[in-house]
Amino acid sequence: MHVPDNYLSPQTDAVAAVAMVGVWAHCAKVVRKQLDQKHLAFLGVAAAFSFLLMMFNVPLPGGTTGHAVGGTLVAVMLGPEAACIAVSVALAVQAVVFGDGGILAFGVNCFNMAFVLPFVGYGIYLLISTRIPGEAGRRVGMAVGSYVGINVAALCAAIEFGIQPALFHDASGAALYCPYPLSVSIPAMMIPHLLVAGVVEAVSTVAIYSFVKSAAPEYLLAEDGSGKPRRSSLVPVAVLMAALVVLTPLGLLAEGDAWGEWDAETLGELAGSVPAGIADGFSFDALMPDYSLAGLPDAVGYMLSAVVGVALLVIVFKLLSGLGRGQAQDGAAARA
Amino acid sequence: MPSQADKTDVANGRQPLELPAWLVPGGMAPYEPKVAREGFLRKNVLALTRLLARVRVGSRVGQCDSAIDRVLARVAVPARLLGLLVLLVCVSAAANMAFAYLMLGVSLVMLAARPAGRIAPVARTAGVVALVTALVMLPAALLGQPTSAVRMATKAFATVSLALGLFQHVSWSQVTSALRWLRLPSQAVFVLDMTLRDIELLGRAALELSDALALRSVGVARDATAGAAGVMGMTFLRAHELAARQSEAMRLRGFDGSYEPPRERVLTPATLTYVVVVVGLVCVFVYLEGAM
Repeated sequence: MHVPDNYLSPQTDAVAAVAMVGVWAHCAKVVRKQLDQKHLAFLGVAAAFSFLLMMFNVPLPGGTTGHAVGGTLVAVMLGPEAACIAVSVALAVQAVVFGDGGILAFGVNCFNMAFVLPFVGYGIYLLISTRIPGEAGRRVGMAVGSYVGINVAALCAAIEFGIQPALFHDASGAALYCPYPLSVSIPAMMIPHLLVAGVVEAVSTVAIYSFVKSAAPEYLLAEDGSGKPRRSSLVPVAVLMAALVVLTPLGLLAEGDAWGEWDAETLGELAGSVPAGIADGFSFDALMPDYSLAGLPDAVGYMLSAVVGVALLVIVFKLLSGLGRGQAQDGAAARA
Repeated sequence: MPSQADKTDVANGRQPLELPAWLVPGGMAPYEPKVAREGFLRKNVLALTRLLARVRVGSRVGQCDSAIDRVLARVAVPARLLGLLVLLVCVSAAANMAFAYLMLGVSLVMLAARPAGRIAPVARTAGVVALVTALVMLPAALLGQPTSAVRMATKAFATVSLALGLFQHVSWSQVTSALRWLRLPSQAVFVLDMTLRDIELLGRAALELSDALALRSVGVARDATAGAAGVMGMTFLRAHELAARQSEAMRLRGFDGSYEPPRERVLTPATLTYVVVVVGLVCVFVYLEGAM
């Protein structure tokens, strides 16, 4: 679902980026108001979970691959606005450091995975959990919400891909960007997500949420503190994250590329020719392209990428939480 | 309306005091000095001196910021110092960037394990050094080798954060005795001791001088470089003064120029484990360089 550069027209990228500026501003405002320093630092852990989930590629029908995103998971743990910020930062790290997802298409990717997915998923979670009381309602809400959320996000990506040939083509009618129309992109994206990726998203959301709730409930925003106070420690969460990092090379077992994430050469083989906008488009050299490093076995390079990504996300959100504390102290000093 | 003081003066047969126009309330002469364009001075000289002032060895001695720091605190300082030197040389010499990225991963994990307040100073210093490195490498980027700038900046960030991670958690005496344990001559240890000790002090002195200069200056300074040169000159004089005082103080306390190696046991299980890890990393370095 990570749209690469040049598959969408610059106009499409620009519209999504402009839309996301407003969303980010609103989310940042809400997050500043809702989350204290502890929860803001934990947002880094949540973003790291999302980052790791996106590294576990699963084979999909049709010979492509897909992955969970964890957007609904973060939304249920810390609120949809926090999820938007967390997934956006994870996507930024993926784009800049690992070349996964385009730089120009960053706004589009954030729109699909950081805005549509968590907000839709969280909305459905609220709808169900308020109607079915108790823990069962929550779990059903999470599972259905995350399943629907990732599929709606995939539908958005499919529509963005599919409208390109109709809107942007040369005088001969040849597509300038993504060459596949809606009749191809929607089934190609939706069938695998409905059958496999959605299920993976639902299972991972419920499993990780249950684990975090039992190990560190006080870090979850939704926990209202009712019932007996329990010991809360981030150590089991860190152990789970380390285990996920060690297991990330499993994502390499899924062979092939995700639909719409091919390089120009592969697209040329699949579509018969490379559209002009992709052949002569923008290119960016990432630090660790495709989560690999020259000289290292693929599995080790993938694991090292996971370590770097997770550490970067945790550091970024810890620094942000420190910044928030500094501002709070300044505000308190000014009021005094 | 005449004031009470004026009435008293008239009663005493004296002429009332006439205030100059600029001193009369409400009659102040307009004086708005032009804002000095000292951005370069403030952003560069002050930033540099702030960076020097941050080179503070042992600022977190005895305080373990994370689980990793707690484990490393059990390792003998000579082994940590030697391990750091070996790893820094490997990172600097690495032609294959995989090793530099591996050490970047190590330094990031060590940073991420710390609380927010302890990450910022290291990240800021290492980030500034990486940025300066990238700027120095800008010509290479302009000549078609942009990855060189990124590579050098990555190496700079990894090495500086690893070095800061060690030097924040060990004291001066531990460093000097570790250097002696590594058979470094006392004279060399003395020079290093004095130099590194004074860098931080001089950084702070230069920072205070620059701040004082910025506070006292009004309007546009015609020769800003003279001010900067003055700060540097005063810093040099202060360095001379500090060195003389330090020398006298050391002699008064019976220092005869020799440094003692550490008395506690160096080869502990924790140290041996650390050495095995460093040797493993060196093997990875050799393997990766061979794979080039």
